[in-house]
Amino acid sequence: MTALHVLTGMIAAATVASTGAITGLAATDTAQQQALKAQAKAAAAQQAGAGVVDRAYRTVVSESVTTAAASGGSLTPSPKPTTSAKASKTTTVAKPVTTPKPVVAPKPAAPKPAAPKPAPAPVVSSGS
Amino acid sequence: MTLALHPATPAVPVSTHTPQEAGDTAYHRGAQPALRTWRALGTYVHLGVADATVADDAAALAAAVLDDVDAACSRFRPDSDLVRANQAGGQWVSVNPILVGAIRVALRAADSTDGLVDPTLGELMVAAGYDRTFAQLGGRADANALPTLVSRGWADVRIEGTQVQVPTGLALDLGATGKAFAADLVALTLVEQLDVAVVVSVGGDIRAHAPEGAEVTWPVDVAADLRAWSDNDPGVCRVSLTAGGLATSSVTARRWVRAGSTWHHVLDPRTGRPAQTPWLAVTAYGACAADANTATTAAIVLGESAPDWLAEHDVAARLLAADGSVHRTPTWPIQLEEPRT
Repeated sequence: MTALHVLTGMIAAATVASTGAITGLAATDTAQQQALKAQAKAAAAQQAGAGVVDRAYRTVVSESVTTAAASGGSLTPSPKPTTSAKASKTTTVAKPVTTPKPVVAPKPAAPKPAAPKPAPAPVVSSGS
Repeated sequence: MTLALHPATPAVPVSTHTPQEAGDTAYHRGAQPALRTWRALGTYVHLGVADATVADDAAALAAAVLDDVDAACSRFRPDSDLVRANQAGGQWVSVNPILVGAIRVALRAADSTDGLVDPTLGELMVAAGYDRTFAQLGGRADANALPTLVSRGWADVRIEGTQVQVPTGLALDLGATGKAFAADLVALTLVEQLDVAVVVSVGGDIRAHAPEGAEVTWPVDVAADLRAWSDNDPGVCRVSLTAGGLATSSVTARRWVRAGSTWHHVLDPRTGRPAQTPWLAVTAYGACAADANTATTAAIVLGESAPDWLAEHDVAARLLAADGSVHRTPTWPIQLEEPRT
Protein backbone atom coordinates (compact mmCIF):
# COMPACT_ATOMS: atom_id res chain seq x y z
CA MET A 1 0.00 0.00 0.00
CA THR A 2 2.81 2.37 0.94
CA ALA A 3 4.48 1.63 -2.33
CA LEU A 4 1.30 2.46 -4.15
CA HIS A 5 1.11 5.80 -2.38
CA VAL A 6 4.68 6.55 -3.29
CA LEU A 7 3.93 5.71 -6.91
CA THR A 8 0.82 7.91 -6.90
CA GLY A 9 2.80 10.68 -5.33
CA MET A 10 5.51 10.37 -7.94
CA ILE A 11 2.96 10.50 -10.72
CA ALA A 12 1.31 13.49 -9.14
CA ALA A 13 4.64 15.21 -8.74
CA ALA A 14 5.55 14.42 -12.30
CA THR A 15 2.19 15.76 -13.48
CA VAL A 16 2.63 18.96 -11.53
CA ALA A 17 6.13 19.37 -12.82
CA SER A 18 5.19 18.77 -16.44
CA THR A 19 2.15 21.02 -16.18
CA GLY A 20 4.34 23.70 -14.72
CA ALA A 21 6.81 23.24 -17.53
CA ILE A 22 4.08 23.45 -20.14
CA THR A 23 2.63 26.53 -18.48
CA GLY A 24 6.08 28.02 -18.42
CA LEU A 25 6.52 27.19 -22.07
CA ALA A 26 3.19 28.77 -22.86
CA ALA A 27 4.20 31.85 -20.95
CA THR A 28 7.41 31.98 -22.97
CA ASP A 29 5.45 31.63 -26.19
CA THR A 30 3.12 34.41 -25.20
CA ALA A 31 6.04 36.66 -24.46
CA GLN A 32 7.60 35.77 -27.81
CA GLN A 33 4.34 36.35 -29.59
CA GLN A 34 3.99 39.67 -27.88
CA ALA A 35 7.47 40.61 -28.94
CA LEU A 36 6.71 39.56 -32.51
CA LYS A 37 3.50 41.51 -32.45
CA ALA A 38 5.31 44.55 -31.14
CA GLN A 39 7.90 44.17 -33.89
CA ALA A 40 5.19 43.87 -36.52
CA LYS A 41 3.45 46.90 -35.12
CA ALA A 42 6.65 48.88 -35.16
CA ALA A 43 7.31 47.78 -38.72
CA ALA A 44 3.81 48.82 -39.76
CA ALA A 45 4.18 52.14 -38.02
CA GLN A 46 7.56 52.62 -39.69
CA GLN A 47 6.05 51.77 -43.03
CA ALA A 48 3.22 54.15 -42.37
CA GLY A 49 5.53 56.89 -41.23
CA ALA A 50 8.51 56.54 -43.51
CA GLY A 51 8.06 53.79 -46.05
CA VAL A 52 5.30 55.59 -47.88
CA VAL A 53 6.05 58.94 -49.34
CA ASP A 54 3.48 61.55 -48.41
CA ARG A 55 2.03 63.25 -51.41
CA ALA A 56 1.47 66.96 -51.57
CA TYR A 57 -2.11 67.98 -52.20
CA ARG A 58 -3.62 71.24 -53.27
CA THR A 59 -7.11 71.80 -52.05
CA VAL A 60 -9.36 74.74 -51.40
CA VAL A 61 -10.42 73.14 -48.13
CA SER A 62 -8.43 74.25 -45.10
CA GLU A 63 -7.03 71.76 -42.64
CA SER A 64 -9.21 73.19 -39.87
CA VAL A 65 -12.35 72.68 -41.94
CA THR A 66 -11.40 69.10 -42.82
CA THR A 67 -10.71 68.36 -39.17
CA ALA A 68 -13.96 69.95 -38.03
CA ALA A 69 -16.06 68.17 -40.65
CA ALA A 70 -14.40 64.86 -39.88
CA SER A 71 -15.14 65.19 -36.20
CA GLY A 72 -18.76 66.10 -36.76
CA GLY A 73 -18.50 69.58 -35.40
CA SER A 74 -18.21 73.13 -36.48
CA LEU A 75 -15.26 75.41 -36.64
CA THR A 76 -14.55 76.97 -33.29
CA PRO A 77 -15.35 80.60 -33.91
CA SER A 78 -13.89 82.24 -30.82
CA PRO A 79 -10.11 81.99 -31.18
CA LYS A 80 -9.97 83.43 -34.68
CA PRO A 81 -6.41 84.38 -35.48
CA THR A 82 -6.14 88.09 -35.98
CA THR A 83 -2.91 87.97 -37.88
CA SER A 84 -1.61 87.05 -41.29
CA ALA A 85 -3.19 85.04 -44.05
CA LYS A 86 -6.19 83.77 -42.16
CA ALA A 87 -7.37 87.26 -41.34
CA SER A 88 -7.08 88.41 -44.91
CA LYS A 89 -8.91 85.29 -46.03
CA THR A 90 -12.01 86.36 -44.24
CA THR A 91 -12.07 89.95 -45.36
CA THR A 92 -14.41 89.36 -48.20
CA VAL A 93 -17.53 90.83 -49.65
CA ALA A 94 -19.78 89.95 -46.81
CA LYS A 95 -17.63 91.51 -44.10
CA PRO A 96 -19.36 94.31 -42.20
CA VAL A 97 -18.34 97.68 -43.51
CA THR A 98 -17.88 100.52 -41.06
CA THR A 99 -16.87 103.34 -43.39
CA PRO A 100 -18.83 104.20 -46.50
CA LYS A 101 -17.46 102.71 -49.67
CA PRO A 102 -17.65 104.36 -53.04
CA VAL A 103 -20.95 103.19 -54.38
CA VAL A 104 -20.68 101.44 -57.69
CA ALA A 105 -24.10 99.93 -57.98
CA PRO A 106 -27.06 102.29 -57.75
CA LYS A 107 -27.76 101.55 -54.13
CA PRO A 108 -29.74 103.95 -52.01
CA ALA A 109 -27.50 105.96 -49.71
CA ALA A 110 -29.49 105.05 -46.67
CA PRO A 111 -31.32 101.80 -46.29
CA LYS A 112 -35.00 102.18 -46.83
CA PRO A 113 -37.24 101.01 -44.07
CA ALA A 114 -37.91 98.05 -45.82
CA ALA A 115 -40.11 95.92 -47.79
CA PRO A 116 -40.11 92.45 -46.30
CA LYS A 117 -37.20 90.39 -47.45
CA PRO A 118 -37.96 87.53 -49.77
CA ALA A 119 -37.78 84.15 -48.19
CA PRO A 120 -34.93 82.02 -49.43
CA ALA A 121 -35.86 79.49 -52.07
CA PRO A 122 -36.04 75.99 -50.61
CA VAL A 123 -33.31 73.44 -51.03
CA VAL A 124 -34.30 69.81 -51.39
CA SER A 125 -33.56 66.84 -49.20
CA SER A 126 -34.40 63.68 -51.09
CA GLY A 127 -32.95 60.34 -51.90
CA SER A 128 -30.63 60.62 -54.88
CA MET B 1 -25.81 49.29 -29.45
CA THR B 2 -24.39 52.73 -29.04
CA LEU B 3 -25.01 55.73 -31.20
CA ALA B 4 -22.49 58.41 -30.49
CA LEU B 5 -23.80 61.05 -32.80
CA HIS B 6 -22.60 64.57 -32.13
CA PRO B 7 -24.42 65.53 -30.05
CA ALA B 8 -27.01 62.88 -29.22
CA THR B 9 -29.72 65.50 -29.43
CA PRO B 10 -30.03 66.73 -32.98
CA ALA B 11 -30.16 70.34 -34.03
CA VAL B 12 -33.87 70.90 -34.40
CA PRO B 13 -34.96 74.23 -35.78
CA VAL B 14 -36.72 76.51 -33.38
CA SER B 15 -38.36 78.98 -35.68
CA THR B 16 -40.69 79.13 -38.64
CA HIS B 17 -39.83 79.57 -42.28
CA THR B 18 -39.50 83.33 -42.07
CA PRO B 19 -35.81 84.08 -42.35
CA GLN B 20 -34.46 85.00 -38.98
CA GLU B 21 -31.34 86.98 -38.61
CA ALA B 22 -29.11 88.29 -35.88
CA GLY B 23 -25.82 90.04 -35.67
CA ASP B 24 -24.03 92.17 -38.20
CA THR B 25 -24.18 89.90 -41.21
CA ALA B 26 -24.77 90.64 -44.83
CA TYR B 27 -28.23 89.19 -44.50
CA HIS B 28 -28.95 91.41 -41.52
CA ARG B 29 -27.94 94.46 -43.52
CA GLY B 30 -30.62 93.81 -46.08
CA ALA B 31 -29.01 91.34 -48.41
CA GLN B 32 -31.18 89.21 -50.63
CA PRO B 33 -30.76 85.46 -50.47
CA ALA B 34 -29.98 83.49 -53.60
CA LEU B 35 -30.07 79.89 -54.72
CA ARG B 36 -27.66 78.18 -57.11
CA THR B 37 -28.06 74.66 -58.45
CA TRP B 38 -25.81 72.37 -60.45
CA ARG B 39 -24.64 68.76 -60.54
CA ALA B 40 -21.59 67.22 -58.91
CA LEU B 41 -20.58 63.86 -57.44
CA GLY B 42 -23.19 62.24 -59.70
CA THR B 43 -26.06 64.06 -58.05
CA TYR B 44 -27.72 67.44 -57.61
CA VAL B 45 -26.34 70.32 -55.60
CA HIS B 46 -28.49 73.12 -54.19
CA LEU B 47 -26.72 76.04 -52.56
CA GLY B 48 -28.56 78.75 -50.66
CA VAL B 49 -26.53 81.87 -49.88
CA ALA B 50 -27.81 84.58 -47.55
CA ASP B 51 -26.24 87.35 -49.61
CA ALA B 52 -26.90 87.23 -53.35
CA THR B 53 -23.95 89.50 -54.05
CA VAL B 54 -21.56 86.71 -53.13
CA ALA B 55 -23.63 83.85 -54.53
CA ASP B 56 -21.47 83.40 -57.60
CA ASP B 57 -18.28 83.40 -55.54
CA ALA B 58 -19.87 80.95 -53.14
CA ALA B 59 -21.00 78.65 -55.93
CA ALA B 60 -17.55 78.69 -57.52
CA LEU B 61 -15.89 77.89 -54.20
CA ALA B 62 -18.42 75.16 -53.44
CA ALA B 63 -17.85 73.63 -56.85
CA ALA B 64 -14.10 73.64 -56.22
CA VAL B 65 -14.60 71.88 -52.88
CA LEU B 66 -16.76 69.23 -54.55
CA ASP B 67 -14.15 68.78 -57.29
CA ASP B 68 -11.56 68.12 -54.60
CA VAL B 69 -13.89 65.63 -52.90
CA ASP B 70 -14.48 63.86 -56.20
CA ALA B 71 -10.76 63.62 -56.95
CA ALA B 72 -10.09 62.16 -53.52
CA CYS B 73 -13.13 60.01 -52.78
CA SER B 74 -14.70 58.78 -56.03
CA ARG B 75 -14.69 55.05 -56.60
CA PHE B 76 -15.35 55.66 -60.30
CA ARG B 77 -12.15 57.56 -61.04
CA PRO B 78 -9.13 55.31 -61.51
CA ASP B 79 -6.85 58.10 -60.32
CA SER B 80 -8.74 58.86 -57.12
CA ASP B 81 -7.09 58.42 -53.76
CA LEU B 82 -9.86 56.04 -52.74
CA VAL B 83 -9.22 53.73 -55.68
CA ARG B 84 -5.48 53.75 -54.96
CA ALA B 85 -6.12 52.87 -51.33
CA ASN B 86 -8.57 50.12 -52.26
CA GLN B 87 -6.13 48.62 -54.76
CA ALA B 88 -3.09 48.72 -52.51
CA GLY B 89 -3.58 45.17 -51.24
CA GLY B 90 -3.40 46.00 -47.57
CA GLN B 91 -0.44 48.38 -47.92
CA TRP B 92 -0.28 51.86 -46.47
CA VAL B 93 -1.10 54.58 -48.98
CA SER B 94 -0.60 58.32 -48.72
CA VAL B 95 -3.86 60.08 -49.54
CA ASN B 96 -5.48 63.48 -49.68
CA PRO B 97 -6.47 64.73 -46.20
CA ILE B 98 -10.01 65.07 -47.55
CA LEU B 99 -10.17 61.31 -48.02
CA VAL B 100 -8.79 60.83 -44.52
CA GLY B 101 -11.62 62.99 -43.21
CA ALA B 102 -14.20 61.12 -45.27
CA ILE B 103 -12.94 57.77 -43.97
CA ARG B 104 -12.95 59.01 -40.39
CA VAL B 105 -16.58 60.04 -40.81
CA ALA B 106 -17.47 56.69 -42.39
CA LEU B 107 -15.76 54.75 -39.59
CA ARG B 108 -17.52 56.88 -37.00
CA ALA B 109 -20.82 56.06 -38.69
CA ALA B 110 -20.00 52.36 -38.61
CA ASP B 111 -18.95 52.48 -34.98
CA SER B 112 -21.95 54.50 -33.82
CA THR B 113 -24.42 52.16 -35.56
CA ASP B 114 -22.62 48.95 -34.68
CA GLY B 115 -21.91 48.35 -38.34
CA LEU B 116 -25.35 49.06 -39.80
CA VAL B 117 -23.68 51.75 -41.88
CA ASP B 118 -20.69 49.87 -43.25
CA PRO B 119 -18.17 51.65 -45.51
CA THR B 120 -16.39 48.42 -46.49
CA LEU B 121 -19.01 47.06 -48.87
CA GLY B 122 -17.17 48.27 -51.98
CA GLU B 123 -16.47 44.76 -53.31
CA LEU B 124 -20.09 43.78 -52.77
CA MET B 125 -21.37 46.90 -54.50
CA VAL B 126 -19.16 46.19 -57.53
CA ALA B 127 -20.21 42.54 -57.66
CA ALA B 128 -23.82 43.63 -57.37
CA GLY B 129 -23.29 45.51 -60.60
CA TYR B 130 -22.87 49.08 -59.40
CA ASP B 131 -19.35 49.22 -60.78
CA ARG B 132 -19.61 52.44 -62.75
CA THR B 133 -21.41 55.73 -62.32
CA PHE B 134 -25.12 55.26 -62.01
CA ALA B 135 -25.67 57.25 -65.19
CA GLN B 136 -23.47 54.72 -67.03
CA LEU B 137 -25.15 51.73 -65.41
CA GLY B 138 -28.35 52.13 -67.37
CA GLY B 139 -30.52 50.29 -64.88
CA ARG B 140 -29.19 46.79 -65.61
CA ALA B 141 -26.16 44.95 -64.26
CA ASP B 142 -24.24 41.71 -64.72
CA ALA B 143 -24.79 38.99 -62.14
CA ASN B 144 -21.23 38.50 -60.92
CA ALA B 145 -20.56 36.20 -57.97
CA LEU B 146 -21.08 38.02 -54.70
CA PRO B 147 -18.15 38.14 -52.28
CA THR B 148 -18.18 36.63 -48.83
CA LEU B 149 -19.14 39.21 -46.25
CA VAL B 150 -16.50 40.20 -43.72
CA SER B 151 -18.09 40.91 -40.38
CA ARG B 152 -16.95 44.21 -38.89
CA GLY B 153 -14.24 44.56 -41.52
CA TRP B 154 -14.44 48.33 -41.08
CA ALA B 155 -12.82 47.94 -37.66
CA ASP B 156 -9.58 46.91 -39.39
CA VAL B 157 -9.26 50.01 -41.57
CA ARG B 158 -6.26 51.98 -40.28
CA ILE B 159 -5.37 55.65 -40.46
CA GLU B 160 -2.02 57.20 -39.54
CA GLY B 161 -1.73 60.89 -40.31
CA THR B 162 -2.52 61.17 -44.01
CA GLN B 163 -1.96 57.50 -44.71
CA VAL B 164 -4.58 54.81 -44.80
CA GLN B 165 -4.53 51.04 -44.93
CA VAL B 166 -7.51 49.14 -46.30
CA PRO B 167 -7.41 45.45 -45.34
CA THR B 168 -6.84 42.96 -48.13
CA GLY B 169 -10.12 41.69 -49.53
CA LEU B 170 -12.06 44.79 -48.57
CA ALA B 171 -12.82 47.94 -50.52
CA LEU B 172 -14.12 51.19 -49.16
CA ASP B 173 -17.28 52.66 -50.66
CA LEU B 174 -18.12 56.02 -49.13
CA GLY B 175 -21.46 56.26 -50.93
CA ALA B 176 -23.44 56.48 -47.70
CA THR B 177 -21.71 59.24 -45.77
CA GLY B 178 -19.52 60.71 -48.53
CA LYS B 179 -22.00 63.23 -49.92
CA ALA B 180 -22.99 64.30 -46.42
CA PHE B 181 -19.34 64.86 -45.53
CA ALA B 182 -19.02 66.88 -48.73
CA ALA B 183 -21.98 69.05 -47.69
CA ASP B 184 -20.33 69.65 -44.32
CA LEU B 185 -17.05 70.58 -46.02
CA VAL B 186 -18.76 73.00 -48.40
CA ALA B 187 -20.75 74.79 -45.70
CA LEU B 188 -17.80 75.14 -43.33
CA THR B 189 -15.52 76.33 -46.13
CA LEU B 190 -17.96 78.97 -47.36
CA VAL B 191 -18.47 80.38 -43.89
CA GLU B 192 -14.74 80.35 -43.22
CA GLN B 193 -13.73 82.01 -46.47
CA LEU B 194 -16.72 84.19 -47.39
CA ASP B 195 -18.24 84.91 -43.98
CA VAL B 196 -21.77 84.37 -45.20
CA ALA B 197 -24.60 82.13 -44.01
CA VAL B 198 -25.26 79.20 -46.34
CA VAL B 199 -27.20 76.01 -46.75
CA VAL B 200 -26.05 73.29 -49.11
CA SER B 201 -27.71 70.11 -50.27
CA VAL B 202 -25.50 67.51 -51.92
CA GLY B 203 -27.91 64.91 -53.21
CA GLY B 204 -30.25 65.53 -50.30
CA ASP B 205 -27.66 65.60 -47.54
CA ILE B 206 -27.90 69.11 -46.17
CA ARG B 207 -25.77 71.32 -43.97
CA ALA B 208 -26.69 74.83 -42.83
CA HIS B 209 -23.98 76.97 -41.31
CA ALA B 210 -23.54 80.65 -40.52
CA PRO B 211 -20.91 83.02 -39.18
CA GLU B 212 -20.81 83.45 -35.44
CA GLY B 213 -23.79 85.47 -34.24
CA ALA B 214 -25.73 85.07 -37.47
CA GLU B 215 -28.78 82.95 -37.94
CA VAL B 216 -30.77 82.24 -41.05
CA THR B 217 -33.58 79.71 -41.18
CA TRP B 218 -33.81 77.91 -44.48
CA PRO B 219 -36.84 76.17 -45.94
CA VAL B 220 -36.17 72.60 -46.97
CA ASP B 221 -38.42 70.42 -49.11
CA VAL B 222 -38.34 66.79 -48.06
CA ALA B 223 -39.13 64.16 -50.69
CA ALA B 224 -38.42 60.51 -51.40
CA ASP B 225 -36.65 61.50 -54.60
CA LEU B 226 -36.48 64.34 -57.09
CA ARG B 227 -39.34 62.95 -59.17
CA ALA B 228 -41.60 62.89 -56.11
CA TRP B 229 -40.51 66.45 -55.40
CA SER B 230 -41.17 67.74 -58.90
CA ASP B 231 -44.51 65.90 -59.02
CA ASN B 232 -45.34 67.27 -55.57
CA ASP B 233 -46.32 63.83 -54.31
CA PRO B 234 -48.40 63.66 -51.13
CA GLY B 235 -45.36 62.52 -49.14
CA VAL B 236 -43.51 65.76 -49.88
CA CYS B 237 -43.40 68.33 -47.10
CA ARG B 238 -41.53 71.46 -46.16
CA VAL B 239 -39.51 71.82 -42.99
CA SER B 240 -36.85 74.28 -41.90
CA LEU B 241 -33.23 74.18 -40.89
CA THR B 242 -31.29 76.84 -39.05
CA ALA B 243 -28.04 75.10 -38.24
CA GLY B 244 -26.62 71.63 -38.50
CA GLY B 245 -27.63 68.80 -40.75
CA LEU B 246 -30.66 67.25 -42.34
CA ALA B 247 -30.55 64.17 -44.56
CA THR B 248 -32.87 61.88 -46.45
CA SER B 249 -32.11 58.30 -47.46
CA SER B 250 -34.46 56.48 -49.77
CA VAL B 251 -34.76 53.28 -51.71
CA THR B 252 -36.63 54.79 -54.64
CA ALA B 253 -33.58 56.22 -56.37
CA ARG B 254 -30.55 54.33 -57.74
CA ARG B 255 -32.30 51.07 -58.47
CA TRP B 256 -31.18 48.53 -61.03
CA VAL B 257 -31.98 45.02 -62.15
CA ARG B 258 -29.50 42.23 -61.48
CA ALA B 259 -30.26 38.64 -62.42
CA GLY B 260 -33.95 39.36 -62.53
CA SER B 261 -34.05 41.02 -59.10
CA THR B 262 -34.27 44.69 -58.34
CA TRP B 263 -31.42 46.06 -56.28
CA HIS B 264 -31.02 49.45 -54.68
CA HIS B 265 -27.96 51.15 -53.35
CA VAL B 266 -28.62 50.80 -49.61
CA LEU B 267 -27.12 47.40 -48.85
CA ASP B 268 -27.67 45.57 -45.61
CA PRO B 269 -24.23 44.58 -44.28
CA ARG B 270 -25.84 41.73 -42.34
CA THR B 271 -27.18 40.01 -45.45
CA GLY B 272 -25.18 41.43 -48.33
CA ARG B 273 -28.42 42.22 -50.13
CA PRO B 274 -30.43 45.40 -50.63
CA ALA B 275 -32.03 46.41 -47.35
CA GLN B 276 -35.52 44.99 -46.97
CA THR B 277 -37.35 47.91 -45.54
CA PRO B 278 -40.90 49.19 -45.26
CA TRP B 279 -39.62 52.77 -45.67
CA LEU B 280 -39.50 54.56 -48.97
CA ALA B 281 -37.54 57.36 -47.35
CA VAL B 282 -36.25 58.40 -43.96
CA THR B 283 -35.34 61.99 -43.10
CA ALA B 284 -33.49 63.04 -39.96
CA TYR B 285 -31.88 66.03 -38.32
CA GLY B 286 -28.35 65.83 -36.95
CA ALA B 287 -25.59 68.03 -35.63
CA CYS B 288 -24.05 67.85 -39.08
CA ALA B 289 -25.03 66.35 -42.42
CA ALA B 290 -22.90 63.26 -41.82
CA ASP B 291 -24.61 62.50 -38.51
CA ALA B 292 -28.03 62.99 -40.07
CA ASN B 293 -27.12 60.67 -42.93
CA THR B 294 -25.77 58.07 -40.53
CA ALA B 295 -29.15 57.97 -38.80
CA THR B 296 -31.19 57.78 -42.01
CA THR B 297 -29.04 55.09 -43.59
CA ALA B 298 -29.14 53.00 -40.42
CA ALA B 299 -32.91 53.43 -40.28
CA ILE B 300 -33.36 52.17 -43.85
CA VAL B 301 -31.20 49.14 -43.04
CA LEU B 302 -32.99 48.43 -39.76
CA GLY B 303 -36.43 48.40 -41.38
CA GLU B 304 -39.36 47.74 -39.06
CA SER B 305 -37.47 48.53 -35.89
CA ALA B 306 -36.15 51.86 -37.16
CA PRO B 307 -38.67 54.15 -35.39
CA ASP B 308 -37.86 52.65 -32.00
CA TRP B 309 -34.14 52.74 -32.67
CA LEU B 310 -34.27 56.37 -33.79
CA ALA B 311 -36.39 57.38 -30.80
CA GLU B 312 -34.10 55.49 -28.46
CA HIS B 313 -31.19 57.51 -29.82
CA ASP B 314 -33.10 60.78 -29.60
CA VAL B 315 -32.99 61.38 -33.34
CA ALA B 316 -35.64 63.68 -34.83
CA ALA B 317 -36.80 61.68 -37.82
CA ARG B 318 -39.65 61.32 -40.27
CA LEU B 319 -40.23 58.00 -41.98
CA LEU B 320 -42.31 57.70 -45.14
CA ALA B 321 -43.66 54.17 -45.56
CA ALA B 322 -44.32 52.45 -48.85
CA ASP B 323 -48.07 52.62 -48.16
CA GLY B 324 -47.86 56.40 -47.93
CA SER B 325 -48.19 56.60 -44.17
CA VAL B 326 -45.82 58.85 -42.28
CA HIS B 327 -44.19 58.01 -38.95
CA ARG B 328 -42.37 60.53 -36.81
CA THR B 329 -40.14 60.17 -33.79
CA PRO B 330 -41.15 62.17 -30.70
CA THR B 331 -38.51 64.85 -31.29
CA TRP B 332 -39.46 65.53 -34.90
CA PRO B 333 -40.68 69.17 -35.02
CA ILE B 334 -44.08 68.43 -36.49
CA GLN B 335 -45.24 71.95 -35.64
CA LEU B 336 -42.85 73.25 -38.30
CA GLU B 337 -43.80 70.71 -40.93
CA GLU B 338 -46.00 72.06 -43.69
CA PRO B 339 -47.29 70.78 -46.97
CA ARG B 340 -45.13 72.09 -49.74
CA THR B 341 -46.59 75.27 -51.19
